[in-house]
Amino acid sequence: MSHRVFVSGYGIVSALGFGAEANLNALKQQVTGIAPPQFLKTKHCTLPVGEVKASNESLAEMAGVSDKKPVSRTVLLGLIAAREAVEKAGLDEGQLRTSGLISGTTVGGMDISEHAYQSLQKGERVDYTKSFSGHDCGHSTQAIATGLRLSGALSTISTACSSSANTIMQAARLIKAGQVERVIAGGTDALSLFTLNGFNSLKILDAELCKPFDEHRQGLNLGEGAAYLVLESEAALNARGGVAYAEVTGYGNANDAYHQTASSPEGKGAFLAIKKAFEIAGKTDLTIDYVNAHGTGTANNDLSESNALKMIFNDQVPALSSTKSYTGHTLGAAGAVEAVFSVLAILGQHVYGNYNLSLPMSDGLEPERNFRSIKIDHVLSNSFGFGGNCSSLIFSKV
Amino acid sequence: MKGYISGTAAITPQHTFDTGRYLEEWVDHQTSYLSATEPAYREIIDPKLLRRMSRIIKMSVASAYKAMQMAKVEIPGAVIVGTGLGCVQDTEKFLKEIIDNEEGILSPTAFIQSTHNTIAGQIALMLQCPNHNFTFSNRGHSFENALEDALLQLQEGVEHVLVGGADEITPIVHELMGSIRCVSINQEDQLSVLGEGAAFFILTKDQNEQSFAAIEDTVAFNNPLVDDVRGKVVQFLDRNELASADIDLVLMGHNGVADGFFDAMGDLMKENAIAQFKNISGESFTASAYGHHLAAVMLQKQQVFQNTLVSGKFGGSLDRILLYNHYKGVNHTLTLLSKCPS
Repeated sequence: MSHRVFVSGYGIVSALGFGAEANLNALKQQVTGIAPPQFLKTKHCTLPVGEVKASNESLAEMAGVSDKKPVSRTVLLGLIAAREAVEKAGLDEGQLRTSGLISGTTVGGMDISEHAYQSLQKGERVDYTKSFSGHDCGHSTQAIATGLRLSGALSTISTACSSSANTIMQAARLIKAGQVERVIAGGTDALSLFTLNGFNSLKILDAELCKPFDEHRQGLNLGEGAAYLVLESEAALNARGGVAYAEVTGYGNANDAYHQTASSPEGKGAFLAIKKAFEIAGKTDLTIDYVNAHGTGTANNDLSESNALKMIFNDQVPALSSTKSYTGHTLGAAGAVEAVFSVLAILGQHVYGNYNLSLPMSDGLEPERNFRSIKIDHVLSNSFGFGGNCSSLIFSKV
Repeated sequence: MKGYISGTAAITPQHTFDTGRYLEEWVDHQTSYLSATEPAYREIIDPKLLRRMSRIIKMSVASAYKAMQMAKVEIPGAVIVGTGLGCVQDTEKFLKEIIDNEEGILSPTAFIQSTHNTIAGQIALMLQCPNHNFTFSNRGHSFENALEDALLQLQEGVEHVLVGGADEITPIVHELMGSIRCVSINQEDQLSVLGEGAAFFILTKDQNEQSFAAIEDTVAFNNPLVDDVRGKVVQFLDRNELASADIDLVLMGHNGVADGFFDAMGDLMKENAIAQFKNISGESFTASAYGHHLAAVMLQKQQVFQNTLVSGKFGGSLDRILLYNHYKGVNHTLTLLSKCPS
């Protein structure tokens, strides 16, 4: 028996703003959220990042966290986005209590522990309990569940930049198998010195605003954010009279098995992930109307992804854009951030512009230049990560 | 959901990798945490690759390879790993470089290897395995999440799945975990002793010539009260149509520290033989992966190993083992394992 999986709520925080409406407005008006860091204390003060424009203190206030302990932005961003998602879904306390939560993150509470570790290295007195107990990835999931008063099953996926695409896939699989009725799935990641310096050491950060799919692209901009979807079985949704905003019809994960950090030039893993997603969707006449690409802006990713897409679509690639020149690459949150954009594209029947594109890649694709209305029944959203992890999701109009 | 165990291997602080001499010789650790007793990796992993691997990768790859050899599986239908803290050795190394160089020019090597899914990614790369590749990092349920995913894969029709749990310790991690009262740092502490290791399994959808045990059922739950444990266990046995008398051995994750949950379980199952595994593995986010491995080896060899039996009497044969573990009273696990009918 296979159950249909519906998106009945969504919430998002990104460099574009707080909430789905603010994010959509920025995408419509084509304003990027990427700028030099204001809140991350880094020596790389000119490197553009997609930072959420709020201090930890104001985020804590928004999240309703009155803890005196330093709380990671990963937790705070996650709580704010997840709360919006459950409010949008209109879940009551009882429905919320029995819901599961699957959250994705790459570095968890690193933004706090990297400072505590620095103090430790310098022999300064640190109160360890307040910092390191929130370091591991699972902590943010538990903290979000506690904040939402949720006591269903918890799970945390950490597969680098595809983490939260995989949480949506996992939730859909569990619902399809009839094991659960309702899951909140998504991801959260805060900017940290660790990731900023890490990507910088790999020499794949653009010193200017990134240019996904551009011939002269120089690399990616890191970002931070969180996004969650409420996913429900048809029966659970109907029983409570909820609204279906979209349906998750396809998903696939595959491994590129090429290199720990680089993608194969031909996009082998990406191709396999998309192919699997089509197989799950199970419709031979499925026409993708819009592709929200992974499109990081690195030479390697955009080439690999272009090749995979050309192969999948026999060179007839649908309307396509990357939204990473608006939000930055939000790592573990990216899949969920772009899943929310995909759902909004279906609801609004529009595609987003591939911001900051000057000259499309010579052997590549022609991404959308501007926000515009088109008919959309099905959206493909890609997320690829370190460790060869490739994931694709298909969202469909209800 | 059921999966057959057709291969398994584990590296722990004790001698567990060499299955011929499984737990025969006991290692007395004089340190405040239990570091892994590692095999000669050069015989298992290509020395060229070995040089670049951190310990968690070596422990995981070696265990995964051995489990695959036992199961005669070359390319698993999925690779699924649970790890609580991930690649902490490389994480620490890169953090230290950031601090020492004040965010200057850094070598990316440690950063590249620091992501939690490096283990599953490396396995896929070495095997050229393009299949489903997931990593869970969910505190005391990191392995349980992975196991749930593995069983779901089998239910979806995948023939065999490589699934495992791994965590490594560094002196700094040990010190920090001690400071936040997660584990003991000296012998007077009434807290669990930290350990490290890796345990991997090949689970198959159907029983085959290599299968020797099965995961009949598993459940993970959070934050129960001590009084809830009895109900949870009875419910779990009920749904498997079993009574406590049908269980030949209860394998628990207690470790000599006073603990209401394990006491309640011990009381409920007082007529049964009860064994322990954390004196072997030590405490970690993924200690239960080893618990599952030990249960499987006991069922395979029909043997209750030295230093494991805590109370009751081993009746001479093992058909069913009930595993119970919890991490810090928060993440609880019940798994029913059985011997494969021959």
